[in-house]
Amino acid sequence: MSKQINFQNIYYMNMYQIFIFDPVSILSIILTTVIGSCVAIFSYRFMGGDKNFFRFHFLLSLLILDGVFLSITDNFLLFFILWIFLNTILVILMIHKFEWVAAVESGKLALKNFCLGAIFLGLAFSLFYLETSANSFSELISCGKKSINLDIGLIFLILTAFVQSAIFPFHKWLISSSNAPTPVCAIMHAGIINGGGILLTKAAPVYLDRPDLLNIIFLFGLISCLIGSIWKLMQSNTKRMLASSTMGQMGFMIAQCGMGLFSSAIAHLLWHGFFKAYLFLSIGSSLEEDKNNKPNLNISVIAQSIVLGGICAFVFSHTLQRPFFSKDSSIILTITCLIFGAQIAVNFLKGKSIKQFFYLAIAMSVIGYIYAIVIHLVELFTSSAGLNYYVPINGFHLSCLLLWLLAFIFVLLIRSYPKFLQQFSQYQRFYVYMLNKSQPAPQTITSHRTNYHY
Amino acid sequence: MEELVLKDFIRKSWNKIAPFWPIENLISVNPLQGFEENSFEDALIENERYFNRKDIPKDLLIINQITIKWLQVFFDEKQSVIGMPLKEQGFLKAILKLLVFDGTAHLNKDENRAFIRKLRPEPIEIISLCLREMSVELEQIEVFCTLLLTTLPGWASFISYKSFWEKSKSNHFILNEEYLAFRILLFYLISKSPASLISWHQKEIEFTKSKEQFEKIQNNETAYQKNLFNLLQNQTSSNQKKSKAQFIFCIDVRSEPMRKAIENLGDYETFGVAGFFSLPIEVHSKCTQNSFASCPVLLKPDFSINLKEKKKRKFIQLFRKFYSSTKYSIISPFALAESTGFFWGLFLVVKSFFPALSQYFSRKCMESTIEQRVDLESISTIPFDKRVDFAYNLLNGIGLVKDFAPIIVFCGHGGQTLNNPFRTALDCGACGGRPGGINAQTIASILNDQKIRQLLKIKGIKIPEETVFVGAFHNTTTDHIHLFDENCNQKSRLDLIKKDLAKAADINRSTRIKNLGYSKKEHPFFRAGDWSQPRPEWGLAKNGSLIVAPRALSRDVDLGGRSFLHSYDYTLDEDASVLSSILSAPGLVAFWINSQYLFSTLNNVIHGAGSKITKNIIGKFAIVQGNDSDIMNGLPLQSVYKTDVEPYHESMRLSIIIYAPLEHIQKALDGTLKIKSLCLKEWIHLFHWDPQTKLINKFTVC
Repeated sequence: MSKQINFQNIYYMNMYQIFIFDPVSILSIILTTVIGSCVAIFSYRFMGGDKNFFRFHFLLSLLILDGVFLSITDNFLLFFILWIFLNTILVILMIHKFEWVAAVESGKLALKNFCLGAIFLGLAFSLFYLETSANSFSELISCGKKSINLDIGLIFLILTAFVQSAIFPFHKWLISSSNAPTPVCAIMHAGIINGGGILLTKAAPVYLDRPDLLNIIFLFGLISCLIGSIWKLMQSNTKRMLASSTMGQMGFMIAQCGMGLFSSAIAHLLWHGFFKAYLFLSIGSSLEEDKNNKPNLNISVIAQSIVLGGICAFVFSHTLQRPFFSKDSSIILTITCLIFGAQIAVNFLKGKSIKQFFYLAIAMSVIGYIYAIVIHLVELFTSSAGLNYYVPINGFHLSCLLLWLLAFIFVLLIRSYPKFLQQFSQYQRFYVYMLNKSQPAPQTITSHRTNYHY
Repeated sequence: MEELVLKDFIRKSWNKIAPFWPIENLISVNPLQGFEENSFEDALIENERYFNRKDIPKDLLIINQITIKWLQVFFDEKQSVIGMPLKEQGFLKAILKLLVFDGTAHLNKDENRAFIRKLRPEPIEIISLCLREMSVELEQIEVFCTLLLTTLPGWASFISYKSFWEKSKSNHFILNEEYLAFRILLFYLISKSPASLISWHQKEIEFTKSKEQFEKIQNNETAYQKNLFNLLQNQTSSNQKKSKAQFIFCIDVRSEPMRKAIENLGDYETFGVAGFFSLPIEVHSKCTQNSFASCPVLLKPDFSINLKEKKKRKFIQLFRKFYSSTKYSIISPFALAESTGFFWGLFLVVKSFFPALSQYFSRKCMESTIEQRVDLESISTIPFDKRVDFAYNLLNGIGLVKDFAPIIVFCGHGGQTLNNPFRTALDCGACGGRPGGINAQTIASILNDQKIRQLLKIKGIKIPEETVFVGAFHNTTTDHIHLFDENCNQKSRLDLIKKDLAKAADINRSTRIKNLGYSKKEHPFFRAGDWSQPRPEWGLAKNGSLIVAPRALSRDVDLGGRSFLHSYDYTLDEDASVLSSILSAPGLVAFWINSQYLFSTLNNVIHGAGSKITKNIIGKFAIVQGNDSDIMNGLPLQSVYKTDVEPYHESMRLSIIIYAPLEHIQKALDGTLKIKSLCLKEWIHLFHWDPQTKLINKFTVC
């Protein structure tokens, strides 16, 4: 951490230390209002005839309003109040029908979780105030003080973010949240859950000064990312599949924070928000979705797809004006892009054909370019906030990334040679273990029809 | 205990369960099929006793959870990427190997683990072993087995479909026994006290609710029948002039108002017949390599018809492949979300704020079912004499054997809806829950074949040379009728007909809008393309009767879109065999549809799919509620209810009204014992419309 970070940059329109209009809050407002209004319009007809129609829309409007204010709040006290209010409204929206026992139970589970988050947040803010007498995030950032108590406060802040973003081990509520009406799922998975990322970003400069804390964030982010991704592939239940996917995506976003890539994390939560909101609202169409075919793996296909993935990643990093083989944390994005490209190629490659390879190479360049542009848009917008700080890559990162790649290869193997692995009792045991872990809390399942209530 | 005795008990318990088709072709069934032996009134009581108990024992809830978990992953072939290991070895074999590792099932007890380990995957063996271990008495075996099925009715129904109805039975043929063995095994591991379950079931409770329900149904029926019979008896049938065109519609209740609108516009004649036009075919798409049966489930499709697909679909396939290959993987979904997030956001905004624009684009890009064309060459794969038979039976069955109009339109139908997993509930029930445009095009093409006409002539049906048959598709959501007239040489006549069809559609739409009190923004066109619309149309809601009679007799009556209309002329059917087959096929399907709507309305929690707002999809084949639940078999709340509390459908049993002499009906009934018994047990009301006196009276079955 030799390079000095310019803290002055974070001062934008700071109104009496209560509201702040920096790029992150503006992006967050955009996300909240766009998704909020789309969900509200969607539910206007979707919820037609529901007996709680008016309560639902009233609460949904309150939720969006709260989200907007939360995005721009700088003051600790106001932030705390809005945070609690936001999650409380969410819980009521999630339950929706109080006669349905399973829905109430998943609401309770979420509420317990959010209460824990509120306690963590309260402790964090109190410690910040006691230690630095800061009233707001911007004051906290500018004080530049270091102490054990402050670090403990920062850990509490991390825990709050974990709770909100359903990071392992605080993920159960999210996996059990599908009793909520579809529009609520959409706004929860696309908006509210991003709260953790936004929270960490608000205090980003402080964390960038503390590599150990960043490593904690990275580790838990990566674990969630792995678990969520594997669970997602195992689910036969569409909404639970989406919930596990969100857990994985949030893990990835938090891991990005942990590598100092706060700006990339913001890009991720923004684009993922739109993606997930769309997927939830269009859940009725998921029947038409194609089944993913088994890739046919052989040396030629693997070699070709790695080259094609490389082309994709090269165009990506070149467009972002980053070195292809960087020694800092930006390499995680390049690797992701490489795997993305290779994954596409694996599924499209059939036999050996120069023409096909050529077409795919062009497609890869286009994909890499588009990918870079959408990331660049967000980074450009937030560049003045100095949120991206490329942490030099260390052994810890490397071993974690290795784990990540191993998981990727493992999944590729399971998918390509399912018959081979399934004969081992260790694999069977692993499957059952993971299946059981990815189930929602038992009390949130409607085990008998008569317990359902609309 | 003897194996045969046990097998008999198992068969009897499965008889209580009605099958349930996967959501991709939602076939209506009577959810109380297993109780059709009882009278309707008694079945309502049994319904309460078996399915509507609120005080479920706690052990059973745990057993249900485990069952749900394992069945989902076993039957899922389309959603999960990392599937259940060993499942190609069959259900029981796989589950026994995996259950050893499942702490929720063996409760981490060593003796339970050992018990599972030593079991052989023989269902009967496991069932009898567990029964012996729990010392279930002989006379209680049947009720015990039945209870294990009826306490998770949705899944039992699905298994019933898989083992008794699925066309391509791969390794599911003893699935019913395997499933029961699994349930009993779980019961043994977790509860171990069958006596308490049985005494819970036999506990005396008041069944006041079923009485209320029965009275309500009766009141609805009396009011409806009185009104209907008044209309039918008091009309004066007008003489039919020679018609410009004849339309053959499906018997579906939604065809009735459309037919009326067309008839009122001029010299048009319409007929009603089951919408698969007596073609037992299967439709195959070369592009997606999928095929589905396009005929009633009672028939087995014998012939395969190909679709003619357009080029532009290929591009969409490419994009879908890109999407699904990166979404269902590890790591690449993160890049997928980031790189395409912007576009999803754009779609979201356009769909929400500019719905008209989004509908325009989706029409441009997606091939809708309306445009599905038949590859005419594939029709010739049906043997020639079969084609002649199909054509002859169809025309004879509806009484269209003379006075052919120059243009005859076969009208298949289907609904148009977006983002709706229940979309097949809006399609043609006679086509196995699929849109019927393909069948219409096929039969039209068969009848346009001069060689076939020559043979029909020999059999006594003389079709004039100038007569042209045209296939068509009736979009029941928007009431638009599309003619497949590319190869037709009578352009000027067809243009006139098209104009009239547009007018008729307009009339029918306005009536619907007026009756339902829709505002301008809720126009059917908008509903059909709205991805957030839970009620694109009302489907077959409010259906109440099946009228088997010549159309001329009901032509001038406003039946309110509540009647299935089957054209039938008893004078052409001397031995009553046609009537018998009408009752046993379209009649039975109409009964199934009617009872599906009836029970989904009566109690949407136990026989319906619940609210669409909290629906969840498993394995892309069934609907559950929330995190997980039993398979919610039946129609969703929004298909039969206006609001959470106010039903739209009126629950009533089907009234079949037949225009034929008494002896004729009696003869036909003797040919269809199923319908006869349903009438006897009052599941169906049968009425006799006397050709002489023109009076409608209750037909007493004896």
